[in-house]
Amino acid sequence: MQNNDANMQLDLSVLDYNFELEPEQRLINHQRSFELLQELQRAREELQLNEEFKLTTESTSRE
Amino acid sequence: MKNLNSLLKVLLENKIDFVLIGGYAAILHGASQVTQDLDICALLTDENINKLRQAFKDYHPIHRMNPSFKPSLNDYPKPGQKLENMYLATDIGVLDILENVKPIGDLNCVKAKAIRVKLFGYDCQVISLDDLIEIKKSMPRAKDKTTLAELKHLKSKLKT
Repeated sequence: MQNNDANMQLDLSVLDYNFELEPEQRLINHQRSFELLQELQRAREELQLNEEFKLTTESTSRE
Repeated sequence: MKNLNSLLKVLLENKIDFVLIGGYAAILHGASQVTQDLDICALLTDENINKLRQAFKDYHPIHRMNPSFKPSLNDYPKPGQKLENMYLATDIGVLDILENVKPIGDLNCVKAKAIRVKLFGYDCQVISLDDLIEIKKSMPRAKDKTTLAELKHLKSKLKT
């Protein structure tokens, strides 16, 4: 990682890789990431239906 | 599963007059952030809204911003009702339509420096990298600052 703007650390290797791709390929690659994100969101929702994995807040943990 | 490329193809296939802006335009320029919606700049005339209705007729487009009022695009707006922006949810993804993109301006201003890119067999107008950088400069969110840094790096790699 390299510092670009102040306090901003970017993975320039990803950007340099994207830079070499055609625009359409960038969108195709993004769709794959987006589908993974949707799958993770769906899995998280399923997980949170399970009482064992319910997130606790300060108030619920004091009960 | 939402598919923003399919959403974009619907706009292109139906010859909607728009310029791609926002996170998806940043992706197209090479940014790495994952975006969950498609943003476009387009005129929200009655004629264009009817074209959008026809384009999305199989995808159940609804207005999504007001939790207590989510009408179908087919029912709202009524003819003559003027919207400046439209925030839709469809079966294939979220689509935001802005008539004005601050600080750049209206569709003509955005088109002035827009680039044309061949996407999925169609010519697509995409907001210029310079304009995208100006927009991101004016946005306070941390993720916009990250995208701004990425876009600046990508600009530095361009030969011209």
